[in-house]
Amino acid sequence: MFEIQKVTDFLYKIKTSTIDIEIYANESIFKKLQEDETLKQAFSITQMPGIKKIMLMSDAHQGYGFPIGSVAAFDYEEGVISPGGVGYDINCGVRAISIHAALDEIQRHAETILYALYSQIPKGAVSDKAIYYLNDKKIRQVTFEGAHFAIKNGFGEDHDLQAIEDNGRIEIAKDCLTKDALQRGKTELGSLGSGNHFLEIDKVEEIFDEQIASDFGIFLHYPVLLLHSGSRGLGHQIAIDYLRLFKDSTNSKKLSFPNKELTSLPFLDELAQSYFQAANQAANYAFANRQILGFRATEIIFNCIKKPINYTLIYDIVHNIAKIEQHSINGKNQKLIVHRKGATRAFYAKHQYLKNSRYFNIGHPILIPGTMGSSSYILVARDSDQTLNSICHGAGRVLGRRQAIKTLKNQDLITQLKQKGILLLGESKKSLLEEAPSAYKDIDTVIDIAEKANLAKKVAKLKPFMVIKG
Amino acid sequence: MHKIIDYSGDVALHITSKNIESLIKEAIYGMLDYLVDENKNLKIETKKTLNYLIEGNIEDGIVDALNFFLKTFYIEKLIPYRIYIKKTNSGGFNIKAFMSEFRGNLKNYIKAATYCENKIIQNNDTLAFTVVFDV
Repeated sequence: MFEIQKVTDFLYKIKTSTIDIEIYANESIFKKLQEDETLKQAFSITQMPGIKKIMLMSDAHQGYGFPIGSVAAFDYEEGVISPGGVGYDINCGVRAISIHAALDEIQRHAETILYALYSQIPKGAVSDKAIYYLNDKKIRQVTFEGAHFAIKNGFGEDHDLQAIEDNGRIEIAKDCLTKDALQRGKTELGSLGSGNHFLEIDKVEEIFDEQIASDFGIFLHYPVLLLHSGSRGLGHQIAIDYLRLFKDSTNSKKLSFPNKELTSLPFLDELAQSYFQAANQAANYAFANRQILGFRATEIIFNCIKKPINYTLIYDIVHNIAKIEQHSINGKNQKLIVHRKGATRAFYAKHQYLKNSRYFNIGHPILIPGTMGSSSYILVARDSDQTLNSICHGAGRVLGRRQAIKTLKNQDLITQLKQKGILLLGESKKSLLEEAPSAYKDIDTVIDIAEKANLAKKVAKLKPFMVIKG
Repeated sequence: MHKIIDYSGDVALHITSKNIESLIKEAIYGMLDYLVDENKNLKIETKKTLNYLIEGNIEDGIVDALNFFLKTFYIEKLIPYRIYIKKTNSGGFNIKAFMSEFRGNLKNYIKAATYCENKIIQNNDTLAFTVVFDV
């Protein structure tokens, strides 16, 4: 059906009537992508107005509308913004914190820490157990101030901001929160969520670049806290409400799309601008959420080991967002709306977008979590613009949730991981099986592709020894 | 009838029914079945009655209705325990739901019901409809 060109062992291209689809994959991952709707979904995006570039990263898989692990860039003036290109969990991301304590000190208290984190960090499918409850005024403040709100209220220090994407706050021009999103956000600030959201403590197992690792605050055999969460119900509700408004608007304008989840509006349309503002408000909520969660988790750890210990925020990176960025495509500098759905930024040293970051001189840490039973990686970007400074965000699923439960039902995941030295707690056996390591691609392969395609280089490899699933 | 099936990394609710009224009702009950655990101490008491009107595209209307009941559940902790569906003169469907407080456990979290591939398919005298949930 498609005209496929193998450019290198790690890059494929599919020609379309508009632009090429660029796919970062090896042979086996590319074969897998042809088995479901991923490529068809990417093809549909090439037919959208103002499309300038579409890429699938090495962790890509079928989503709805836009594939997960995709980067789609549209022209600022002629192009569109699509809530489906951002996803329902707006500004979902990963935070890594380096704990300045000897590994054996943490491991000696491992079970105490595990149960303390499990009982004190709100998680799972709950929506009324926030660490920080908000009234109408404060919730608006959070969505305007992001991580700054959390820090002003005692959850962290000012210098944390230099280690957060966008310094933990996106500028908001006007309040575009919907009524229901505001209500849902009141009781969920400082909560982990469910599904693939997690909190874990890893050991730095391998260092690939000592200098950069040291600059990032990562040291061999030291512990690193890793957490994955997003904008919770507030973000989900913004996506629901605006997708419906977009649909009504496009119906009245008689615009049609190959898939309703691709519904989009010209970026400069009034409703599109309102969505962009609201999505950025959700992004700020997510920044505050991870700031509070990370700070609270370190407090719980210190209480368990009965002494204060220093820690450093390594980085907080985002993987579901649309941003206005300038990039060069085919030698022409262009202003674009870049949708990253299950893809992260990868800015190299001295990049203009890092000018307020503590990592301006080296490039920011790229945090790529694997699964609860495998490894996670910290990378740094190569000096290349080929992917609009984007890269994969995780391992990427290979098994559906029910398929995972069916296939793995007789496995005692907790015992298996314990034998590998990993302590695990989750809300239910079912939710753990859904997220079992074998439900995902091999993270080493996904990272290997990104490295060999010259997008980034490995800095450190982390191995979990304590995992809490939402 | 309803069942949950895999949809890539998420799940989908597959519903079959004889008519649209029953299809809408089954979709709401099916979503609740996935969302909440059985509650042996369930005490049904009407806290509120809600009306929701589906107009225009039925498929999109069902998805919107599911998202309406989803946010009512997340914000007010109310679930519909009895649902009446009535066809309106304009060809739409009015959903009247008697809402009771939910005190049990959640089984699964649903971020949203999506519009992905939401097409009602008629096969002889049976209607089939699939809604993908972002979980």
